[in-house]
Amino acid sequence: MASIPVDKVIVTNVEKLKHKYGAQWKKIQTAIGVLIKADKKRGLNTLLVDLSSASDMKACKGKPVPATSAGDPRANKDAVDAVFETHWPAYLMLLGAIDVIPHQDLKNPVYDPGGDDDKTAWSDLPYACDAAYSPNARNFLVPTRVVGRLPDVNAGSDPSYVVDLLKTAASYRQRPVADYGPYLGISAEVWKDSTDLSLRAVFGNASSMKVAPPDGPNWTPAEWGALSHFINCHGAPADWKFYGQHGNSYPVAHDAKLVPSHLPEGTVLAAECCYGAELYDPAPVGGQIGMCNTYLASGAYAYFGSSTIAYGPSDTNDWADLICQYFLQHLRSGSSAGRACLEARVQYIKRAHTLSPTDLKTLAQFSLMGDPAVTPVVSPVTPAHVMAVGKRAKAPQAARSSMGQAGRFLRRETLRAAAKAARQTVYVASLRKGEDSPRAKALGVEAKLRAAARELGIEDGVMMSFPVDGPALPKSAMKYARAIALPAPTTIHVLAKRLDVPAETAKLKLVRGLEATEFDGSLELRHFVSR
Amino acid sequence: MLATADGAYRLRRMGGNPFHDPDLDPLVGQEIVCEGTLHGGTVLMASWTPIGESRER
Repeated sequence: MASIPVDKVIVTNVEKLKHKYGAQWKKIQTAIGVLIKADKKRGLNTLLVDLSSASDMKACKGKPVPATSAGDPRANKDAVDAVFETHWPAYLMLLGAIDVIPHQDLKNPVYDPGGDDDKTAWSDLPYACDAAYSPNARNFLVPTRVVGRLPDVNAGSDPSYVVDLLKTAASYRQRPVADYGPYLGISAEVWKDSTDLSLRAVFGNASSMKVAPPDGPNWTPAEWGALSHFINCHGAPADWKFYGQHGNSYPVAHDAKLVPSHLPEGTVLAAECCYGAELYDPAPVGGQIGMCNTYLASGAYAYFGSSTIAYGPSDTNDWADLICQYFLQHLRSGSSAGRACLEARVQYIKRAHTLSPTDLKTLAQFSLMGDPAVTPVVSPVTPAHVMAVGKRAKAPQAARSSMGQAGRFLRRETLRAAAKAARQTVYVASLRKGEDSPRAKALGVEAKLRAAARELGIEDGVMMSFPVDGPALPKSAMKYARAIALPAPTTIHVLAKRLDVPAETAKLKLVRGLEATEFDGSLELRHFVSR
Repeated sequence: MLATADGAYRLRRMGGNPFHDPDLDPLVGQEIVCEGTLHGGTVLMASWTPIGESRER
């Protein structure tokens, strides 16, 4: 254990950064030093840990990750765990894109070559969990660490991009929550009812909602001036644009090329869009970086989005809607960006009685891009006055610092306990796609599900069935449940299909499905469409 | 979709609309030779030539 308490750890792979940037790596090193000094002024003791350094990793009783293994999820997870367990930081910042520290390679529970063809739900969630490396998202349902990623450009060679991001993190300032009231809220026209609910949940109104089409992608300076951005549109892999939808028309709603080079300082964004936070290599698409990289380069403090195909309903709220809402709600209440991400994940788990395969994918795919310690909104809670007494009387600054550390530690432990409690009371779908149970067949589940799907225009979808594991409830609760013969979830069935579209839109990568949680003789249905 | 010996891939013109790109409509039913980058299940095409024609983009 470190002798000096560490509040924030920046992990990166220096060897890999040197491979990318050569001697210009020193510019990044200098910028990290500036951030560490700025953190110090804010009362944060920040430490840089080089995952490729034998000495740094020996100090953490971990194995170094050479540049040649920088893309190895298991090696990086093991190394980050060793760093975390040594320093127990309040904030863990991953510095670099996925070619420096990779996303973890969680299997997509609803992978279907003809439907949701993401084999992997690329994720930073496992870095936020104590559980050891695994490709199974079920193993990462107790998120307890405050984690964010400050990316450079995937396969980039110009260090100025990430240097600017480090400068933004070093110079950030807080604002009152009222400054985050005005928003740029963009919805695909077909989802405007869903987006209306989301905007009301986060901002208390939906009066500023933009609907595409006809709105976008050329926003006015006043619209760009809003500090909060919420986007519920379509997205695609290796693409810097988001798309609206009306019928079979998919016009551009939001374009990274049109993002001002300097957004209002402090802009934050939550994007429900498929691939909305994908950190793709821009070279094969002509050098244009994605929306996430673009927002951060333009001065955004935090970007919350998805690595892969994300889901939500058309006219209500669920999946991506909820986790994005939770993130912005916590951010607006004065949480740091990293804590808001953690709280969003825990709240997503807490609100469910059963986590379905699409819930597992949602939890896996949404991550925070940005310095997790950045706290854009001033907390409405008045800071307690610290009175140094006794031996501390001669060093009031040290007293304030140590009490701040103690407060953060205790708040993290409270959240840790809440995350563990949430996991202990939720049913979870198995990653293994089980054979349809004999009971399900007897109940005619598949026939009922297909009939319901047909009403939604889903014909001949692929059906997958997932056994559900129950939580170990307290004996008293179990006794009560048995006494009144409460039904329990046993299986989750997913019927999904790539949407039938006209020939001229054959490039669509849209998935629609029904998810049914099977109780004793009853089905709880959820209808989803890809964002 | 592009059917190949290695499997099926979605086609996308570099910078094109991934959901609806009229420039690719004439390729439906054609055999083509294309250059580009494979990104997941998508071919990001820089250029292509229908076999039997000399058109290149």
